[in-house]
This record gives sequence, structure tokens and C-alpha cells, in this order.
Amino acid sequence: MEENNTRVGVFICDCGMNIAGSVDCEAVKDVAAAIPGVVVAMRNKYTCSDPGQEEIKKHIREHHLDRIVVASCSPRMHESTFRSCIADAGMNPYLLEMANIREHCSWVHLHDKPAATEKAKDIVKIAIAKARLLQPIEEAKIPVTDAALVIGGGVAGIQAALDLADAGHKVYLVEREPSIGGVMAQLDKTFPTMDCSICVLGPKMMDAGKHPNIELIAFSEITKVAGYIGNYTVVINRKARYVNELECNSCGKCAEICPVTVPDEFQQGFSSRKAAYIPFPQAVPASYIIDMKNCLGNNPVRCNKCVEVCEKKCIDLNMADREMEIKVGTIIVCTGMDVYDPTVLDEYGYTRFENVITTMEFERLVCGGGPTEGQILRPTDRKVPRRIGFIQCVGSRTANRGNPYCSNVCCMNTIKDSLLIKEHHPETEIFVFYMDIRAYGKGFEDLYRRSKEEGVHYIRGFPGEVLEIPGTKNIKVRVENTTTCKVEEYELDLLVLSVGLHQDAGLKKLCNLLNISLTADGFVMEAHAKLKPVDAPTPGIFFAGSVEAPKDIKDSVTQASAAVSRSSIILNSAFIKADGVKAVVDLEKCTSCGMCARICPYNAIEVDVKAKSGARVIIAACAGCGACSAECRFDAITVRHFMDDQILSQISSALATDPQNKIISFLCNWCSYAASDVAGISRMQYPANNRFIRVMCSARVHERFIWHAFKLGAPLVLLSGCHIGDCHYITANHSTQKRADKMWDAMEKLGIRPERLQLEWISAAEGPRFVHIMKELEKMRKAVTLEEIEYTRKMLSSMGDAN
Amino acid sequence: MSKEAFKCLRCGNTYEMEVDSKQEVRERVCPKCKSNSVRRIKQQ
Repeated sequence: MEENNTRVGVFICDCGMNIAGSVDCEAVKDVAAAIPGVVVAMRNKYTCSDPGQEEIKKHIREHHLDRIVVASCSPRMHESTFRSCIADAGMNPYLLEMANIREHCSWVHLHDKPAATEKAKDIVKIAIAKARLLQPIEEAKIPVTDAALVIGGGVAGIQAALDLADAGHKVYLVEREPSIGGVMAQLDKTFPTMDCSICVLGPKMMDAGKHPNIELIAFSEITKVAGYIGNYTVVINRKARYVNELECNSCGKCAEICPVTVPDEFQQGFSSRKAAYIPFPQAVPASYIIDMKNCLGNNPVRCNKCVEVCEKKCIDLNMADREMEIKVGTIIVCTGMDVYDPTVLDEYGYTRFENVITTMEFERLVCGGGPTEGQILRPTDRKVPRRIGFIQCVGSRTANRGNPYCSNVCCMNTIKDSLLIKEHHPETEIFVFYMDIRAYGKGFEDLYRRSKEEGVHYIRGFPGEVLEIPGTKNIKVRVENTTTCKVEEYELDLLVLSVGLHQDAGLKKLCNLLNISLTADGFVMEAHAKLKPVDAPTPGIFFAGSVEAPKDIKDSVTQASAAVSRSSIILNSAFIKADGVKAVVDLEKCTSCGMCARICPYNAIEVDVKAKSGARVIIAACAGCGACSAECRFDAITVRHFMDDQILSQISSALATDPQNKIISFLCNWCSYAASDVAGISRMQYPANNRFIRVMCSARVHERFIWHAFKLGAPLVLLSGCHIGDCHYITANHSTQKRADKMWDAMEKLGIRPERLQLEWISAAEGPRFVHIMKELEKMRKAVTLEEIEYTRKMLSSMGDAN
Repeated sequence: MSKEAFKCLRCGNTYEMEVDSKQEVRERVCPKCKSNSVRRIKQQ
């Protein structure tokens, strides 16, 4: 279809007052209507609503529209909605272009309607320019492997594995520790029902261990992930247990004879275990393991007693780690969280006073399966404490030494603990030092009320001083009670620090393997916080539990089942349609140089350099980053939907009027564009002079695009993508850095200040940083003189197409 | 490891840093203004 024959429909959304409040949508509509090729331009109150979508379909049919522009919110929000809408009307879904006039315009220029309106006009013009060059794309059908990987065997992972397995799917449940169970296995009771934690969890652990559809792979870690939705290949390192877990019958003779005693981490160090041990009685797999760091069998003087005593000959001290490879269609990440370590908060005396403990340590003390068999005894003298204090928010809601967020579960956990103490010893005096009590869930307020009715004292204020009283080893706490405005002193037998939760130590490494991002809080980032809360931005990857944010057991289980539901949609399909954004080779231009194959982070391009048969793209493996296209010296490879002519037309459109006042910014879809959306959602304000061009990856930005912008009079160009190491396309943004280096050198040689090309890595969580950069760029734009711009234009124009 | 000079194209700050030539691309951050628009200055 020729460009000049296109029939474009432009639908401008008011989004209630979200857009119309700061953009003159009527003026934007008038501008769109006057653009050649635009057959229909109209406004909707809410274009994403059913009536709004019906309006689009009606106009497609009535006016035989063949390209659609929807000017509304971010494409990251509703591109799929409108693609489905136009597909319903018989159009190819890739003939849609969205103009983001909400997150990029109305919400970030709230108080400057004229500037916002001018920018909105430009955004719509840019979208129309691209839309007229869009081409239909047929999506490839990719077979799906009907198996799922669940990473993490806490309650969320167990629930996810069981739900998937019950639905008939093969599940690989991988757990880093020797047993599944996670943090929940260490808890005594759960709130608000006060039921026994391991009694609830234990049967589920057993079910997961023996389910015919679940392959439990404990004491193992993921080392490599390759592939794409429906077809992931995962390499798992199975660490040596030194005990054959399938043969071990848990007789325990190895532990009885083992001469090595070390602190028991499951019991928080309050008791000891042997080097041959089972993590806890209900462990699944119910197998012993040898702690090789402490085993004498690995030392020069060999012990070997456990090997000799094992009748079933399950122990092999020469066992080695081994790798296994699995193929799965989806991945659910349930790696949970870590508990905050309060050793840095010296003022609470955790490292100095034995009678200051954490909530996790308290859980083991109060638990019937714990080192004191459920008797609450204080560490120094093993006496029952009669006055117990709790300090809330330790490591939470602080910008200094800890985490800025609320850890969600600590208030209710303390309330639960207070009732447990009262159950054991009703006469115990309990003092809770807090800033707010957050009891928001079902049954939570009732539990809080019960705790107060039982006589637990809630004192609003954090202790400023914690001292140990010599002799008694009691703890003296001085606190300003902000309710009474008095400084009060309490002498306690035991002080419990209600520690918060934070990112699991191995999460960052795992996220790098899975190509998923973390938020500023250190938890995983959702594809959409509200509409896709269990989906990772990488298709086919989901998460559940505290890996997403601190949450209680009920929420973790709910989220696990939600992730399973999302995952099952894929696994239940024999085929899925691959995204149409894929590299495509023009064999007439291809010289088989092999550059594209070398740069592809996915090994998705094959080239037989000797045979000179041209490059071939493996469609299923291509992720559509476009790094190949930007590197090809012969223009022989491009990326569908982000073709050179489409991007060049966007640049031309953006700079058609007053180019000296505009900054061209290339934003990668996954990070910097997402950060710009965050800035919009957060209503952060910045200057209106930037014009954004969305690419899937910063590596797609060909030098030609940058030169084109300068040639048309852009004073400044920004190239922006994910942070190095966080690239959605593994290492594709490395070529962005290299290209920027090359561009800066070339600019200098031509007498163009390299400063006019800026490079910034902005993560999806860095909305404030995005805004800061926008403000800085505006300052730099003002410093670029008209003479400089003119010189650049002349210099580049005189070089013709060389650039 | 070798020492290389860098210039921030945002604030103009120039600085030297140890660079492992064998290592893959590392993120460059201007120690003064935190910009990533940091250019390697080739030694003359």
C-alpha cells in the first residue's frame, strides 16, 4: 500500500479531564483533521471504553480506514486494547499507532495549557507520520511447552506449583534451600486466625513433594535462562547434598553419630544441629543432607562415620554438583524476601544485649517445635520474662538505616505475638512501641482489639535509648510517648525488635537471568501495577508472594493462584502468537558480512559467511530489539513496526516547526519510556520542549536517526535506555554506548559539540530522575545557539547522505 | 587495568578511572552530576 493512499482515522481521547483538563483537545483534533491522509479526526470522552472502541470500529467500516491513531494514554497501558479493537473491525492490529498525550503531556504540563496543547499537536502529528508508513504484520505461531518452572518453595511457590500441577501441567519446583517451606515453616502461629503455621503448611509441602506432576528440585539454583514465552530453556545447578535424597529414609543415624555440632539456622542459632542434618522435622524432601562446610569428611583427617553407619548406603561424600536442563513454557518467580538484619541499628542494642532479640528469633522461642519447646525463656537466664517490649518498624519506613517502605506484616505479627504471650503467661506485661498500627485486612482489627482487651499496652513513640541494666541484664527503654507528650521509662525482661522485610539476597542475579526489572524498593516490577500485577514485563514470566512486595501468607497464596491463572492461559494453548516486532532481512542488500549475527544478544540470526547465502532470522528467538538493524552497514536488516522510514518520518514530523525549540529523545520501551510514564502518573512537572520517540531498545537507534535530527535543526538529542546490566534485551544496550562513543567522535570531527548528544540510562522506576534529566536538558537546549544549529544543518546537508 | 580519562558531557567534569580493557561495557556515571553522558577522552 502506498503512503499517499492511506486513510487515517485519528481518535483523540479526553480521558475525562485527565487529558482535556490541560490540553485543548478540540484544537488538537483540528490540527489532525488538516493533515493529508487523515480521513476522520474525532474526540471521545473515554476512547478505551466500550462506546469509545465501538466508535473506532464504526468509523473503520464507514470510512474504510486503513491506519488508526489513538491519542490517549501510554501505549504501555492500552496498545493491546486498541490493537484488539481494530482487529475486531477487520484491520491488521499493527496498523495502529498511539500518541501518548496523557503521561507525556497533559499530566506533566498541568499548569501550562498552551504549551501542553502545542506539544499534544506535535505528538499526534508524529504518530500520524508513523501511522501512514505502518505495514501489516502477520504474527508467527509458536508452539508452547506445556510445563512450568516455579522458582522458590515458600508458601507462594508451593501454592503455585500445586495449582498448576492440579490443572494437569508439568511443574518443576526449584528451591535454593535443602527443603521447601520458606519463612512460613519457621513461624509458630499465623495471623489473624492464630492457627499453627507448620500444621497448615506441612500438608501442602507433602502434597508438593509427592504430586505426580511436580518435580521437586531442592537445594538448587537457576544458572541460565534462554528462550522466550512458551519456550524457555533453563539450566539448574543441583548442589550436592552428599545424601541420595530418593533413598534416604530419614532414620537419622548419620546425625546421631556425626561428631560436628554447629548452630542451627532454622532455630535462629538458639540450638545446634549436626553437620549431617535434616533442616527441620517436616522438611520436604524428607532427606538428610551433609553440611560440607563443617563436615570432617572433607578435611584431611577423614571422619566417614556417617557413611559407615548408613545402612542404605545413601551417603556419598564425593558427590558433586550437577547441571540439569529443563524446557518450560512459563516461569513463576516466588523467591520471597529476607528479614531485615538489625545489627546496624546499634542504638537498640541487638549486638550488645542478649535479651534483645528479633521477631524471627521470638517465633522460634514461642514455637512448640523450637529450641525451648514453646516455653518463652529469655536468653540470659532461661527464665520466663514477665515484662516484654516490642519495637515496631525496625528497618522499615526509614530513609536512613533501613528501607523506606512499610513491611506490611510486622504490626499484625506483633499483635499475634502479644496474644501468644498472653496465651502462655496471661500475667505478662507487654509494651508495644509503635508509630502507627496498620491493621487493615480481614479480621486484623478484631485481633488488634483482642490484644488491647488482653491488656497489651500500645505506646505511640519509638525508644530513644535502650540500655542493659548490669546484674539483672534487664533492658531499660526510654521513650517519648507522643500521646501523653511525656518521656517514659520501662524496665523489660525481654525486648523484641519487630524487623521488616527486604529483597531476597539472590534476587538481583535472578532478575538479570530472567530479564526482569526491580523497582526502587528492590522488589520485582510488574508489567502494569494495577492491570497486570503478577506479570513481569517479559512475556511468560510471572511472580507471586513477597518477591513482588512484602505481604502476608493469605496475599501470597492469592497472588500465587493469580499467577497460575495467568500462566495457564499460555500453557493451555498449543500455540501462541509471537509479537510481530521482529527483524527482517532484505536478501538483495545483505552481503552476509555476519555483523547482525555477532551483535544479536539472542543468537537469533544465522549467517553462513562463507556460503554468502544471506542472513536468516530465527523468528521464534528474535526479541525485536533492533540492535542488528542499527549496526547493519548495508541497510539489509530492519525491524518490523520500527522501520527506518517510520522513525525518520517521526523525527521529520517532530522538527517540522520550530526545531530550535525542541529536543528529540529516543526512549527505550522498557525502561526510559516506562520512567517517563511513571513521571506522568506521578504528575511530576517538566518543561514541554521534549519530543519522545519510542523504540523497543536504545540499540535500535541508528546513527542516521541522530544525524537526521541534527540536520533538521534539533539543538539536542537524547539517547536513553535501560541501565547497563538491566537491558531488557540482555546486552543490546552495550551497542548503544559504543554507538554514542562513535557519534561523539564523529561530531567533534565535524565541529559539532558532542555535548549536543546526551546519553542517559534510566530505569523504569526512576521517574524522578527522568524529570531531573528533562529539566537539565532544557537548560542545555537553551545554551545551544542558533548559529550552532545553522552550522550543523549546513555541515550535514553538504555531506548529503553520508551520515 | 589501565587508567583512562573521561569527560562528562553534561557538567564538563573530567576525571580518570581504572578500566579493565577485557571487561564488557560498564556503566559510566559522572561522579559529580551522575549523568551517563560520559565520554572517554582518547590520549593524544
